[in-house]
Amino acid sequence: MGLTLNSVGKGIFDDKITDGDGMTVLMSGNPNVGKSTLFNCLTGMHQHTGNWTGKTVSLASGKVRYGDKRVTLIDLPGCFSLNSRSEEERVARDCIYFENYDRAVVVCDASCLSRHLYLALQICQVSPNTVICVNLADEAKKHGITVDTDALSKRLKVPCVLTSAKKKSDCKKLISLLEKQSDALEIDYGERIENYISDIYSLVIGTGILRSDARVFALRLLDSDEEFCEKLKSKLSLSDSVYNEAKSFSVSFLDTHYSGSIDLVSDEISDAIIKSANAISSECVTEKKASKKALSFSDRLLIGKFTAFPIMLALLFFILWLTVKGANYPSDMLRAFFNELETLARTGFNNIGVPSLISTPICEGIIRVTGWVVSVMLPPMAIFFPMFTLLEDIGYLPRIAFNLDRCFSCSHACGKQALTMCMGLGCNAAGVVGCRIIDSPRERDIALLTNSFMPCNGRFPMLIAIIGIFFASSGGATAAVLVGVLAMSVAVTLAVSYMLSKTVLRGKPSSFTLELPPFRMPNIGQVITRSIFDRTLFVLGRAVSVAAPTGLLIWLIANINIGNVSILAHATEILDPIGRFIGLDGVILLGFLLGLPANEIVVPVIIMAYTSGSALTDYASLSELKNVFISSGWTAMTAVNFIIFTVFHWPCSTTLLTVKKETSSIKKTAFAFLLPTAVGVILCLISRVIFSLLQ
Amino acid sequence: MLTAMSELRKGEGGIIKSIEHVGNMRRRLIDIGFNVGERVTLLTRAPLGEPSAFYIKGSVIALRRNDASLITVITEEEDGTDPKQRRQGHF
Ligand SMILES: Nc1nc2c(ncn2[C@@H]2O[C@H](COP(=O)(O)OP(=O)(O)OP(=O)(O)O)[C@@H](O)[C@H]2O)c(=O)[nH]1
Ligand SMILES: [Mg+2]
Repeated sequence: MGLTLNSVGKGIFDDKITDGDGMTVLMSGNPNVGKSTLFNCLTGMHQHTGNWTGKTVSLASGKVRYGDKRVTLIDLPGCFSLNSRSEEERVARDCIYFENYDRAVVVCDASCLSRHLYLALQICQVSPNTVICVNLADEAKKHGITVDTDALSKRLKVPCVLTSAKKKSDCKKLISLLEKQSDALEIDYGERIENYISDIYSLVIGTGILRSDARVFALRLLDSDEEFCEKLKSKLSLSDSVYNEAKSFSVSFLDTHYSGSIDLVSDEISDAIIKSANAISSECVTEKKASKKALSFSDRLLIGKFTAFPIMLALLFFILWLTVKGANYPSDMLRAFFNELETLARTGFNNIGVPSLISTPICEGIIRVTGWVVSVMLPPMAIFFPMFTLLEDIGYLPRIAFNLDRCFSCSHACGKQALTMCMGLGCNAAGVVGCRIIDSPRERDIALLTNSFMPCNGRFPMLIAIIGIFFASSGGATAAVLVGVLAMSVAVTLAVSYMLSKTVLRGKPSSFTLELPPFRMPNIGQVITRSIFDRTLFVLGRAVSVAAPTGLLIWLIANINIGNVSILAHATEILDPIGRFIGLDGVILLGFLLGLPANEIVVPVIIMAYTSGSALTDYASLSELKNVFISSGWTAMTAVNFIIFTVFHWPCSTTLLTVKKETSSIKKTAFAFLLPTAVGVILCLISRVIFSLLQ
Repeated sequence: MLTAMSELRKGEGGIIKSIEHVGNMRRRLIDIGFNVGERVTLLTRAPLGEPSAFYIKGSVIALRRNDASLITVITEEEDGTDPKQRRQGHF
């Protein structure tokens, strides 16, 4: 969760061309084996890692120096196989097949080598110069499993190394292996397919193609789709006539021997790979203890029938409580600090004779709004992000998805949507990108469109403040109300997902698989520093960079008059009827509109608008804030509707841009804007009706 | 005896006999380790009854009931209980 400072997508390989003497190395492997951890260890960068499948969804590159060599490392998303057609594995697969690189490192898990060798063997066949890195050695050792990498290396004729990604020395060992060269591997697919491969090879041999490339080409003609084969054709620069001849040969081979069934032939191909992976692993792996096939004690609690939901709620409550409680004191301090700063700036400006025409907008516009954003946003984020990252690193997130999957299947959605929602809690833009882990396009769209229903870290502090002012006197009560608000978000997400499945995104729930990784001890120090530096400060920086100019803008429009009335008053007057209709008011609506670039500034804009022109300009404490709100006409209903609208309204512009990028569809982006807005308006109207009935 | 993988009891294991899925899901299941001849154990069901967590080739993977029911496994009758009685254990 959170945005990456350095998450880069395509275009990484373009760098390579300018990078003549260096070497490009891919980090590939199954999900959750420590590719990103190794990458970070080697490059000193801070790619996000997390103990669940699908943490990395786009490419990232970094540089390492080894001796006099420059190495460009590229961190790939995990994949299970090179031959799958699923969308989520496409990025990695296309890189391995089509990009130019010098070495491919395949990271495997030492505890279950045979499973991981399946992908490793596939990659060894496609690309020469593969290096196998058997990672998580420390974990395997704990389970009494030892891997003989020398035997492995001899057997596969590629360099192999045993590592624990967190040990610097192990990473060095890996780097030193990159010098070695090796050939592509050949696996015996049995007489029938081998004969077919030879036939194809003799068809294409005239083009000067490598034997290994011809083998891969022949196999993929059998089990891959047209688009992929075409790409392979241009990669291998085969002429149309040669390609067509090979293609029709493969079609007739498929027809005669497998009655045209791709399933049958790809079964046979994977069987051969699996057999050889199993054979190799039984030669190279020794297990001292029998493998454990029972749930661990923690799992019996965390996904147990009676304990799973109480623990989930308790954990959520605990995190929110700690966030609210812990943020209180630093928030007050920061607020006092910014008040002080404002006074200091004012006297300073006075002393050096800056006219108040300039100093007042700076003090009351820029400093005040920025002060609010920093003092209200920073402390909760600095507590929430690390705690959430800890849960992520331990491996709790997939357990949440496991527990909740039934609800999603009833909504005809994918259980992995729970994972994207968790990421949305940190930042909706990150949640939207995370939707790539959902394979079915229909279910991915559902997850993507409903992601902003999860209040992100920019909106949490707003909720905390308003709940604290109006509904709860203690931190515990605030946290309890927040749990309720989150439960409402989840319920609405499920309901809307269901409605989408019945209308515009019609369809049945598709198949899905969810990996439950072993629990892992997170590196607490690293989690804290990383989540504060990479996430909190990054998000805060973005908020402040919006807050300062918006603060100035709002001060200006509040103090520049057209006729006898300020521009602000004109604007709120226009918005007022709409705002009142949904139980809010014009100022609040204006706040949300101006908050499009960053939700963090909504509340300070509202306060600024309420207090402009009145004597009440100081809002050092929450109780004074309450007075501001009440004297501006807020009732309990306004507060409730404000909370509803905070959770359900248009996503911030970053999120919308991300939706646009992920779907490349203006229509879906517009829908992503309108859907939550419509939901918010409807819920606000319902609440307005309920309140009017109560009176 | 032969059963659908979704019908295994908690803690019960079996050897995968066949996979009835077709197309992408078939490939996916094979890719993540549901291979014929491999031993699979049902570890637990989710608190709401679905999905189930299976231990396969050193990892734990959850599948929904529909998906698991299309995989057939051979179980060893160690305890000799009547198959009819077994059904009562779950839903
Ligand atoms: N004990 C131990 N834990 C490790 C090791 N390598 C990685 N981890 C942990 O394993 C988890 C997964 O690591 P990542 O680097 O995010 O895995 P990845 O391969 O990039 O995963 P995806 O991005 O999902 O494909 C993290 O919680 C790491 O801290 C290791 O050698 N030993
Ligand atoms: Mg990663």
